[in-house]
Amino acid sequence: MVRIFLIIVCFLIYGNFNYVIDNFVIFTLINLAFYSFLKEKNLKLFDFIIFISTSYLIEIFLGLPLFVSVVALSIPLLLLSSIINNFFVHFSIISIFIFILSLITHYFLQPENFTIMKFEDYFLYLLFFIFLVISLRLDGKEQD
Amino acid sequence: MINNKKVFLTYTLIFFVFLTFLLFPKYQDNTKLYSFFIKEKLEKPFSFIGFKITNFISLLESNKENIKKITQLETENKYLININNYLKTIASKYSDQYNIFHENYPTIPISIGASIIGNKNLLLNKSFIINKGSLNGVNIGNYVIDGINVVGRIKSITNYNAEVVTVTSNDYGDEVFIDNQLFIVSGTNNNYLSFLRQKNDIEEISFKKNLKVFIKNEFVDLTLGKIDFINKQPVVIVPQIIDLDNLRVLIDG
Repeated sequence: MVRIFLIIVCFLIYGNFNYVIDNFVIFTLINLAFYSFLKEKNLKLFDFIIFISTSYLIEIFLGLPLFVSVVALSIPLLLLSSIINNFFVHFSIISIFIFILSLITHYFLQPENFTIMKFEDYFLYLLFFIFLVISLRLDGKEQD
Repeated sequence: MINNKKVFLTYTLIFFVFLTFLLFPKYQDNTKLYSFFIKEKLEKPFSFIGFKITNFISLLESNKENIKKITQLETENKYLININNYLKTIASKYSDQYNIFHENYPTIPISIGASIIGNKNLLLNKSFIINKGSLNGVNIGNYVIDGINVVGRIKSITNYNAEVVTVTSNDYGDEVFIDNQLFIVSGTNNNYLSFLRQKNDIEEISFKKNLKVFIKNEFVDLTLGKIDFINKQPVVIVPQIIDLDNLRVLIDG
């Protein structure tokens, strides 16, 4: 429910504030997409729908062909998920992995933003990492 | 890898939708447009509330600024009241002196500002038309001054306009005071007035040069000009420079 709420908020926020907020919205959606796909070994329909909806919003906002990321990224991400989740890796390492993956994706989607951004702005990105760690930990407790 | 059939089915469905969008870009564009349409509709209440909040905040800020301005103006007003009281005290000394000499306090005549709307250059005759009339309280015979000297008198009026005959016009005639003696003068269409006679007297007129010529008004003495001589004949010379842009009509005189 938290993710759905976040998706709706991101959908409403994008384009109404400055480019920094728009950047964060895109980065949030990327994080949500990767988190939903990679958080568990067995992909659930609900997580997959969230992945579809977040990628759909990114495609709409950035003008990419619709559903291209679902079609192109689903199989590699499934492979990645099986690799990550088959080893008993600590959730913090998984969250670092998701964070770096999101950052790389964001860089490839909007490289011009990284040239505009100041050094201090990168620290704000760490907030996403903290939220990723918290959410993965809470999700793990729920499963237990 | 995929244990969930539903996920696989959804992926297949999305794959076909992607293919459709790739083959028919029109549908893709329409989908994007509808998405933004929904976004706009959903944003509306939030943007309305946001607008109200920002409006309220800006009002609060402007209110604070206005309160600051009011306090500044209040202090300025207090300062001006103090100055006014000081000036009143100074003026009261003059009023009291006036009261000692004249047995009454000085009264300021009521006047209204007027501007010329016709015959400003005094080309046709030595009269002009002003933009104040009987509805402004102007009456026939009222004096028109330029701040210091008498310019003329009201000759005829309508509701909104009045004709002023200047002191140099040969239509102009008035009673003047020179050395507390009453004389009758008349305009000559030149820059001087000639003496007709001394009122209530048939003796010869004898003056000194540069004596001031006054017109007695109910409240103040109005300056008409100075005595001079042309061909040994005494005349009243009126000032050459008349400020026609700063005219006032004495409406109670």
